[in-house]
Amino acid sequence: MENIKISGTDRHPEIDFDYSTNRFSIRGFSYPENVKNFYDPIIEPFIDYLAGLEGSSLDLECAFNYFHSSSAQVLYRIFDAMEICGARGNSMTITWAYEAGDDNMQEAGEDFAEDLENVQLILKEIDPS
Amino acid sequence: MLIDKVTALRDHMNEEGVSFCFTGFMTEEVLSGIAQALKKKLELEKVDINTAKGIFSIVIELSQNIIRYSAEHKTSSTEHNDIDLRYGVLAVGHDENHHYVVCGNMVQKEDSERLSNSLMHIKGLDRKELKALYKQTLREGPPKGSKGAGVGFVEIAMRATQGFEFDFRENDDANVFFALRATI
Repeated sequence: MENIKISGTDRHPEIDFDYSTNRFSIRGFSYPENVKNFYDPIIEPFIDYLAGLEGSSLDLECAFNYFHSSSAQVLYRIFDAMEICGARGNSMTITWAYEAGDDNMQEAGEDFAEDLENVQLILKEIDPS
Repeated sequence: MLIDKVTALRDHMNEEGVSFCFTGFMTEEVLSGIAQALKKKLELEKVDINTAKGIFSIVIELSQNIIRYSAEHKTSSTEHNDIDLRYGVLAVGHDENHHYVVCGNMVQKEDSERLSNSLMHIKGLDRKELKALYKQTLREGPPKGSKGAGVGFVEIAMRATQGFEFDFRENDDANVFFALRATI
């Protein structure tokens, strides 16, 4: 699999998907002009990759400053695929980083965690940027 | 007199506590600019992080709403270029006690009842019920006719800590003017 590295902008997050180490991260702002155009080329190969994963472990770090409601739908797609992958015996971890004091972002992480049985979601408070 | 007109407009905005107001054709580029300026202003005023993010989020959702759904629009389509400009009003301000975001745009008469019912329903939900609706809609996919995730107003309701109000006024045979004010 080809690694994906995209710099962040005011509107879309920084993407660092390293398939050689199974470490993935999404950081920053997420309200791209066109959600589908931005995310589909990133998450479709990722979801395919998860479907073929056996006996592996994988880490995804999500460190959002802000994500809009259409981006939330993308997160559900990613997390659902990780949940299925985890249910097959792979070790799946999501690190949900949020700025100290950002109650809404912390709550979003807690809400996602509620739906995940086969993925470990770790909440991580970070200092304000 | 030019100066009277512009001063009157400025004074009116000032009286209403408006710090940003945009009326015109809303585009993604306009939204980017407003979002950046708003972010700086909220930083400058050291607005509490949750309030600041709430205002920011409501501005994004309402602006995208105008871009996607305003029934007052101008379109042109050529082989290489589709232009679809949609007209609306967006204002951010502060009254005596709270921050607010106001939006207004035309909606088609046939859509206004559905929008009104949906907003009435959302208005009656508590935080837990809003979260459940948000989750369910994202999971099941957007409702028919939606160009986004279909949860923009649910997001607004969750972020508007002091609630929101909305209204409609008949404009002509085809369109109804829709206005919403969210308070944080």
